[in-house]
Amino acid sequence: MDEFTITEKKADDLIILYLNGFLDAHTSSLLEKKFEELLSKKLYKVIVNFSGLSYISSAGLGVFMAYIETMRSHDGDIKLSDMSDKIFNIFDMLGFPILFNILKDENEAVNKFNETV
Amino acid sequence: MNDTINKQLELNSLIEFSQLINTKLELQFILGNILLSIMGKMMITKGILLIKSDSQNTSSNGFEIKAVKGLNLGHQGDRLSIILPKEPIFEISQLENKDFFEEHKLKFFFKIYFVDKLIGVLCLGEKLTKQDLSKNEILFIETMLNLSSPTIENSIKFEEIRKLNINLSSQIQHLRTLFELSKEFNTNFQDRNKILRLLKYSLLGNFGIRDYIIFSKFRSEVFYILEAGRETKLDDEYLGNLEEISEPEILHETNSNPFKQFLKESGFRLILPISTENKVDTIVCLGEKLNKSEYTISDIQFLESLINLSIISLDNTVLFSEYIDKQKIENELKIARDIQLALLPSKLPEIEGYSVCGCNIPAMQVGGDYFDIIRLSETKYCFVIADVSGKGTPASLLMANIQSAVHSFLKFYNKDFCFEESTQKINELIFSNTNSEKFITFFWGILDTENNTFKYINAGHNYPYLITGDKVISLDKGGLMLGVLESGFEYKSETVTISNEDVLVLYTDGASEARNAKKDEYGEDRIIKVMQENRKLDSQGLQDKLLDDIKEFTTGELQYDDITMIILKRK
Repeated sequence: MDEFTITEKKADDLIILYLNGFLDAHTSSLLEKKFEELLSKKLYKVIVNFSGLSYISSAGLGVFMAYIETMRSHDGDIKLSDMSDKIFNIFDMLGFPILFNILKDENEAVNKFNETV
Repeated sequence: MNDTINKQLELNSLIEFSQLINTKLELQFILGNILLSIMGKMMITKGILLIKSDSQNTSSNGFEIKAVKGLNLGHQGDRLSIILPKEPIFEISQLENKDFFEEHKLKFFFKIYFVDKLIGVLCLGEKLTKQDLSKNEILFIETMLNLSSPTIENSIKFEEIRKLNINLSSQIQHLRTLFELSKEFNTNFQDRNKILRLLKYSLLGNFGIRDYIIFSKFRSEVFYILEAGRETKLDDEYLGNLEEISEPEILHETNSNPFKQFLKESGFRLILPISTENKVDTIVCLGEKLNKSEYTISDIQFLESLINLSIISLDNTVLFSEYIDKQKIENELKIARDIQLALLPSKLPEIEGYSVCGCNIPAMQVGGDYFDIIRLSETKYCFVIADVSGKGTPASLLMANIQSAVHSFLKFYNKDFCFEESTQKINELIFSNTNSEKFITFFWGILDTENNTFKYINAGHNYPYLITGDKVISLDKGGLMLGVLESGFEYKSETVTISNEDVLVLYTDGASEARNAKKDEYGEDRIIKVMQENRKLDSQGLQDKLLDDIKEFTTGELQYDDITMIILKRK
């Protein structure tokens, strides 16, 4: 099975997470740990770049649901970008666009954060 | 001439229109275009398009508002139930229930047919000129609707297929979840928290929800909250209401049941009881989905599988940890038993003029019995019997303590050996090595085969008996058991004489307090009786008789405590 990895980049007070590979029940704990780590470092403005992600399962989606409100309660957000059509359809099917900002690419997501400041 | 141009224009717009809508399949777009084209041509400012909700059922009166133009109407997507007059084209006056249409000033109505099947209704407001529609205009609208009806039908079908596809994708997603989780739970069955976390993420991710509570009777008589999403303040009194829930329920309207009303107000939409063996033991409450869609039968089936899978995995976790605990205890007991066995004498010394034997019969649970016979010289032998309070490893360790203390003191045995002082020293040692709840009943004595005397000190142990002639002497002189008080008291010794054919029996409470089914104790009297009745036997014979008698007395009962004894018989 494909590995799942997260790399990150810091841009001012934004954190950009790059997800790679398979995000499923097995690997969802890695993403969960990453969000916990961000919380402990008081980093609440997160962009998740999906360009390297080939698969997402419900457990993976659930992690986003579980952390969005915590981030927002600290004046932050989780914005999603660079999704393939396949991945977007899964988010769309569940109505995620109602709750999440899903943007075409990382730049748009960065701009969106700057807009709201 | 003018007429011909007009016709030409009409035809052109019809061709353009049909070309446009035929390239699209999106219902919303097509209906909007139909409305705008007709309204523009007729100079009408208001219009809506109704599409029959259940296209298969010809008797149904349900319609959905699919397109709205010129009306500031929040109703798009709403459903209406309308009884239509027979005519394919009619005006508002012909409608039985006209409230909605009057309110929005809709006047002209055209039924839309695909072949013979009614698929929708076009509703139009008044013309700007307030005039009625001319014959020509009606014909134009009819033609337009006839032209577009196949496209409308196609896009209705397309939308149905799209819905089916979404349902299918979500069912595939459900199956994937179950597959992934069962794989994951099997490799993580030792981690309860991980199981609950994965369950949580699967619920959130499969339905796109924020609120959930799982009430469960898992390993409990009553419901408790096994896992919950965002903070929901729930009174304990509501937990009692869970017992009444037996059917799945979608929370729609205000509810007379205060608990359900509370759940509804807290944002919950679904209550789902899940049974194992015909008993509801888990109740799942889920919040509204992000995409606002209702919970379906397939959602409920998925939830049942998901919850059952999780509960079984949790159960396995508990069983696994119980198994590990049991293994640990068994290992510990084995260590304790090994310590004890290593400290008991493997071979008893031969004593001239006497026969001697001793035994320790361990119970299921390891006790802290100790016995020993130590040769001090040609003519002197030390007999020790002791019972450490408590069981298991702690008792074994304390027993090791007393064993090494006894052996250390006896290493320095000589004619100046002070029995009383040594006992006091051992007491101090035990006292400093234990807390006050731990103690040892201890008896030791030195047999002198030269003059056949036995000098002993009894520190709180069950009285050994010397059966001499017709008499029974209790060896009860000594003092307090070991480890209770450090000082402030003295141990006293006593010396008794052992005559020919006398029997000395030392034992622990495992023998005297062995119980039968009626919970009667075996008792000291029975020990004495066995000794007296079998005085002709040597020590081994006496021991066998005593053990047999205890065994017979306690038939069918578990041996609770170690049985330990020493028997000395003068030949």
